[in-house]
Amino acid sequence: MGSFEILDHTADVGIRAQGASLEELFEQASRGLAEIIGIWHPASPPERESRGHEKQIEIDLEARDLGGLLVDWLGEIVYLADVKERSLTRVQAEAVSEPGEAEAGGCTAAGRFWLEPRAGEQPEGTAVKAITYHRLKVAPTPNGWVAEVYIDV
Amino acid sequence: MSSSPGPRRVGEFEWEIPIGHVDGMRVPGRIFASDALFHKAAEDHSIEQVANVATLPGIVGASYAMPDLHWGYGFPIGGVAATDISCGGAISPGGVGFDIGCGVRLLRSELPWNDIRTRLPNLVRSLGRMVPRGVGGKGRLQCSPQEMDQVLQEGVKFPLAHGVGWEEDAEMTEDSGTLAGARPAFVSDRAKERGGAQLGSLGAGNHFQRYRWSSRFSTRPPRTRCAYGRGRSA
Repeated sequence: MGSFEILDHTADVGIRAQGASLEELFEQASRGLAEIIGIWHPASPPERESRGHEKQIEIDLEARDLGGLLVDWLGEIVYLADVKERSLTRVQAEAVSEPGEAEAGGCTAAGRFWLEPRAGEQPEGTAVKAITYHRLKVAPTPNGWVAEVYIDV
Repeated sequence: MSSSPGPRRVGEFEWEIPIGHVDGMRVPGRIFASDALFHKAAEDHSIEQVANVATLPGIVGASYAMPDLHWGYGFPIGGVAATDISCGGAISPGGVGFDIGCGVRLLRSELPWNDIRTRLPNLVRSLGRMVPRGVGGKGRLQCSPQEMDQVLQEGVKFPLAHGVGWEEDAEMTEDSGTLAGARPAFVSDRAKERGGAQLGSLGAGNHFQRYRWSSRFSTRPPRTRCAYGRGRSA
């Protein structure tokens, strides 16, 4: 079972995410970021039916290494929250490859975000400027994977 | 077992990080801080970052840290470094954090304190409504992608041509509000999209406006017209 926690930083904020697989790791980091921004609005299947506004976005990314891939993945959420003014209801990372597995030699991530129009004019969380490479870490553990990523707010 | 030399006080408000504190330091680190500020900085990674900056190619003099020192990205916030281009150095905007274009404007109002002191709550509320800011706050200029390229190229001339701002605003801005050699094509479409909504606004995140009244003024000749005046609010 994956999890995430918020890490202290003097002026910014970090996320430590854990997952049994890279896919779960990316999902947990996504949820952590969405909660920081204040756009995490999960819905149970019956609620999804009644809301009826969900829109699905497909994500397909490629990067040189897993850290860069996670930064780009989370950057998608920042973009969607900022420009499209959406809340995130579900995240599914379907295939995250380790370096060398992808044809081009880097690593890839494919998945889907489910979004719905934001209820309020502004999210109630923290405005995010960028996902950073500051102390960025994606590493295997005996039980799966751990990632640490800091966010410029 | 050898240990690396630690920071030492060299003045009442000055601390030195000797060469050798971290491997590869080319110059010492120099921190300007009170006891309290220095010990606060020592709680995170800021001092290590000052030392790391001292390893950069071409750095000259010292890796400096001002009293606003705190944990940044690569460079500490408050870090100052001069690098020698002819020795392979680099100029990095990371030296001032990621807030490129972040700045401070001091505006002097013509309102005498005695005229407004009883109306402050209403005045602040009105200013809050009039100055667009915050996430989701829309600026006074909404541009097409082509116009956004013009903004990046022309700078402050663009809003002036569209009736937003005064000519004096350009005079009070660095480089008169236009960055020579700007290449809009080097900015991603997404960055333009994200920034576009905030154009003509105070911005979002940690951007804010503050109003103060001052009973004193500088005796030095003002460098700009935005210097405080006696008994004025700003």
